[in-house]
Amino acid sequence: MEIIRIENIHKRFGDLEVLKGIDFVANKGEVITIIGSSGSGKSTLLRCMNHLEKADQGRIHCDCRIGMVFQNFNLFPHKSVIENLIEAPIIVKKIPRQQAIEFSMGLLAKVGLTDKRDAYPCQLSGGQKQRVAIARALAMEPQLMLFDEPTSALDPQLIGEVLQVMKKLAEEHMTMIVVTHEMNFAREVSDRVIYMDNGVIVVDGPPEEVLVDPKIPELRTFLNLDR
Amino acid sequence: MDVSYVTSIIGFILQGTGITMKVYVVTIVCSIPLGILFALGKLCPFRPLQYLLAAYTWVFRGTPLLLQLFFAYYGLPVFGIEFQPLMAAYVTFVLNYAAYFTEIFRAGIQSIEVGQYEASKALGMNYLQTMRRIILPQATKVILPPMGNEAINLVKDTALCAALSIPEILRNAKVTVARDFSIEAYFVAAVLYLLLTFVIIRVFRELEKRYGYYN
Ligand SMILES: Nc1ncnc2c1ncn2[C@@H]1O[C@H](COP(=O)(O)OP(=O)(O)O)[C@@H](O)[C@H]1O
Ligand SMILES: [Mg+2]
Repeated sequence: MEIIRIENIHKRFGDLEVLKGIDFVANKGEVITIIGSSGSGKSTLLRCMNHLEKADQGRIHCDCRIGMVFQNFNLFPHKSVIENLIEAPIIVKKIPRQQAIEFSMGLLAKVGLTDKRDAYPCQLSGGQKQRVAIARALAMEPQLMLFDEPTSALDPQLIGEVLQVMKKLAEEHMTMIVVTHEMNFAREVSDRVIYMDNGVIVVDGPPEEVLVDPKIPELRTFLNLDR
Repeated sequence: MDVSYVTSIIGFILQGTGITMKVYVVTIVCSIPLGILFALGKLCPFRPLQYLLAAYTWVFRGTPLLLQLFFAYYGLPVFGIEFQPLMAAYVTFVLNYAAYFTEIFRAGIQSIEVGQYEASKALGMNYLQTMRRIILPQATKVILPPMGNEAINLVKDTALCAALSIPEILRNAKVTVARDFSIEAYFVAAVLYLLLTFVIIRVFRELEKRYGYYN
């Protein structure tokens, strides 16, 4: 079943055409990683999907709720962990506060941060912040989760705990589109890997095909295979 | 200093404190919401509104408050608008302070990272929800120190009302000095202003403490 269908998306910033005609479909339960060098348009593509950017041309078909996790967490600093989680469910979905708290406590348990419910973001490590951000996105019960380099702002020793949570989500069949430089995650967890270069999708296929001995020279260079 | 003399004049000057506080409260209560509204207007992409508000803040921050008071009281009747002195003071102070608050709020709102807007939008919140629940509470923490300055300035600026013969603290002190040829009344006035600013300083210290729970 299709979760999101993207047809011929174009996006430019001034003179710079960042997306030059992107087509792809994500099916329910799929985990898709997007790789590619910096500036190739990966973030812009994700941001077009949930309308943080408006595509200049093309269509996005998606009837589902989309959650997003950012590189810089973007937690609400003036709200405690639990308040970060229940804010949107209460304000947007009009869920009763007590019910929102109960649901959110379940999510905190899932990301292993039950004991941090009343902490403020400034009291958390980077890895903990990102796990809260994942739980906050899940609190809106999205059918599709977008991750934009969720571990790129983290100290190396904190990356694992975040990837662990994402892996668990994938095992629960959450549909996920993940922009990442973590090639092990891409290889082990994803069903499909998309390689983007210069605003176009160059390759879209299963990880063993895209990541192990691909034919395209730019991708080989990107993956450091020819040394 | 003659204690019995001071006691005899203090009641009259305290009456002036009532008027001073009236001007103070009216100004604060009206100019803060106006300032928030104008700041949001300045930040909205509608150009004509931006220019209008830029002209407004320029005029009211770029000319002396005393001149604005004179204009409201002596100048506006030329255009058929007549105010009682106190009403002229209310209008002038509200518009003048709203201009300063507009700039303070604008800067405060702009200091919040775009990531906060993006996270809110990604969670499905609309503009008003984002402003009310996410942006303005954080901006409040940022603007407390400059707001504290303005709140103290306002205590002292109310003394300009004396120029329209409004019977506030300074005016009543001046009348007393002229009547009795004795300057004690000025000391009494100074002490009253110090007490008022002391209260304001404590209020803002408390507010800053209350908003200090996060970084
Ligand atoms: N808001 C913006 N204004 C102007 N240029 C932008 C904006 N956002 C992204 N870009 C440019 O678009 C290109 C692609 O950016 P991005 O999608 O962030 O790439 P990636 O995530 O793959 O590194 C870059 O050259 C970047 O500088
Ligand atoms: Mg990016």
